[in-house]
Amino acid sequence: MTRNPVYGALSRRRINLPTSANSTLLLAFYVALIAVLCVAAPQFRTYHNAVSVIAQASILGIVSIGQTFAIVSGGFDISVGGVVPLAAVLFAILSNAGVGLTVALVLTLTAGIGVGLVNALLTMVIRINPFIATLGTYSVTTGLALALANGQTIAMSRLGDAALGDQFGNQIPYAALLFVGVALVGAGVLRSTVFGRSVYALGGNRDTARLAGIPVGLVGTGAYLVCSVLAALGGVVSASQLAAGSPTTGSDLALTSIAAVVVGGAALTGGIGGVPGTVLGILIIGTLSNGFALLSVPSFYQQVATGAVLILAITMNQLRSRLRRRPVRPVDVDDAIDPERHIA
Amino acid sequence: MKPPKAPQLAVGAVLLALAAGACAPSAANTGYHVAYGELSNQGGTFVRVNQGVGSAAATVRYALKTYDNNFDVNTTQQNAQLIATSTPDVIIEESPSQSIGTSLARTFHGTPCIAMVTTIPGCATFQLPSAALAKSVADLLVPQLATRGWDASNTTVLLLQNSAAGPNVNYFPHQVYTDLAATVPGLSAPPQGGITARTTTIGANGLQVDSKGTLDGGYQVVAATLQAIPASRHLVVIGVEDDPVLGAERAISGSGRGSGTLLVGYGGSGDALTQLRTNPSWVAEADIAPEAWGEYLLAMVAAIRGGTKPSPITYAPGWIVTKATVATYFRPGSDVASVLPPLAPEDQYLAKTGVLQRFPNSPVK
Repeated sequence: MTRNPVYGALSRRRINLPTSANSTLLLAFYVALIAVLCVAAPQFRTYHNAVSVIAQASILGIVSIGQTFAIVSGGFDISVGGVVPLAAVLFAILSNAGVGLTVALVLTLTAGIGVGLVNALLTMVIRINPFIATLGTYSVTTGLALALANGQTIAMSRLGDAALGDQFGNQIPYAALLFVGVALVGAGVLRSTVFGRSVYALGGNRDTARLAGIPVGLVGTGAYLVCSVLAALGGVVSASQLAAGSPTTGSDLALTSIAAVVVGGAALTGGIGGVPGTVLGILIIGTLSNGFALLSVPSFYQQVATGAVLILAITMNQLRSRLRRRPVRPVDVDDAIDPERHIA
Repeated sequence: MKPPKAPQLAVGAVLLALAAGACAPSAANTGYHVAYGELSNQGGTFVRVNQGVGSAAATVRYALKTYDNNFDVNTTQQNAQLIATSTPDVIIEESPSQSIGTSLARTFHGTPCIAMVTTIPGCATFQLPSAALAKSVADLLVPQLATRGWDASNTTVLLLQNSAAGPNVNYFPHQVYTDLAATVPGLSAPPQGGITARTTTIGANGLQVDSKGTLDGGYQVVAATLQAIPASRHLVVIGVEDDPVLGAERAISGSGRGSGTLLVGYGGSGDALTQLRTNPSWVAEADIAPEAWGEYLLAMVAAIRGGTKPSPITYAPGWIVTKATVATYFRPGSDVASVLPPLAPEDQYLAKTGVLQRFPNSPVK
């Protein structure tokens, strides 16, 4: 088989990917936020609180890393807000049915694959706008979760199956470790594999990617699959933490995960972003939530302040981009076909 | 235009007959036609209420038509118009907001109505017995604290509210704290004007956090708040309903502070009753028997249609279940009360309708 030379170039390490890994301003913002909270809330400085921040952000983190794949590929996935509760309920039901942890986990993640395939079919094959397509699957999966649970929370009777809610050495929650692991693998896949580079190419310019020989349908399908499977994994973590599957859990995760990815420097138009930036976005959101709880800020004002801080973070990122505007090549293969394209 | 052929006419006639059958009241229902605007069909308590109303209507053979208000004022208003069009004998309505009460009353056009929890002008009111339950919980906690040597100097009371749900829903935890502060020496007094959704700290002893009324909301916010409460302090956790208290319990036991904590649930869910039976920290459950509300509501319907004027407030069944009494009211493993507590003085008129007596758990024989 003759390999497409342009597509083959994606596997070589000379490509300058437009990720947000160099968004030092965002990192500086996060450091400043930590400094403020260290002064304002002495309890914030403890080791246990640091672990607590990561553990509490773990579900959002796992879901947001999947969302990064969808957004960088030029789409986005609202259905994660339905997949998380569906997976949580399904996992609890399967656990209570006595199928065993491994089987319950595999079947739940398979359900995530199913939703990802439907999303890919709707967006990549039928070419429905991702917002409308995943809004539809969000509604379906949310309804399915409620129907499966009959609108109620399902307690897990086999606590051994909720092992992901336990702690490693009574110190570090497994959920936090899983989040870190998913982040590392996600960063590696997106940055250093042919698939990951193809995701950038697809998000940068679909037609260009197609003309360059990239199988855009397969790559887009892969991105939605990663997103849905990680959302399902988030649901399993939620059920394990709570020892119960709630059909209303994570109802705000769709927008929060998109916010985390965008705060991390990704563009909703696709082609720009990355896991390191997303992790920063997750940590900013998680740290804010933790800090507000420690400072006893009323919840109404928490919403106002969270929104304001997110806008500030995104504005700083945009300003940095404008000040340092220079032509950046999403992938070298673009040069041959679309040399006018510049991404800030 | 050609006239329809005989087969087409036959098909049309069959369809018309089917439609007429679907629209006609069920022959099995020989009682009143009741329209029920449920607040939501999501969440343990609401589901149990709705299922209870449905099964009670089947038992007394009332025709019941249910409308899901979905926690939304616009949906509620649209449903109210549908309800008014269906001309029921009595409307049972749970509105998400008191602010649309006047609008709902106008839409109902004088049809007899029962307002659940949230008042509607002109409707009889069916209310949670939260004040009595809060007083009972405070009375129960005071000796428990004293026995353990817990007092204002070493104990933090953690209130789990649902800030978006309004003062009616959050009344129970607020009132428990207020009653406790009136009894336990040194416990910080509530702020002037009472505890509100914006209250976060109450002196040195009280903390209020927003659990959003959910399992994961309770878990997340308590896991974070525990970092701000020294491990040497004991905790008393009072929740707006069972799910957030269950989430809090998971966070507290995960942090290794279970033995220094007392938990009180609200709602009487199966999971909460399991905790009450098995978890030493879960000392009481404010049970409002949601599945039995239908029995009371349909007795109200019968009273209204029978010409009896209901009390200004008819109270839902409610009582405090403890480790000592859980076996009295519930069979092992069950979350459905086998016997309900005696009727409140305001509810005595319900006994005269004869409706309650048709249920095996009736408080009147």
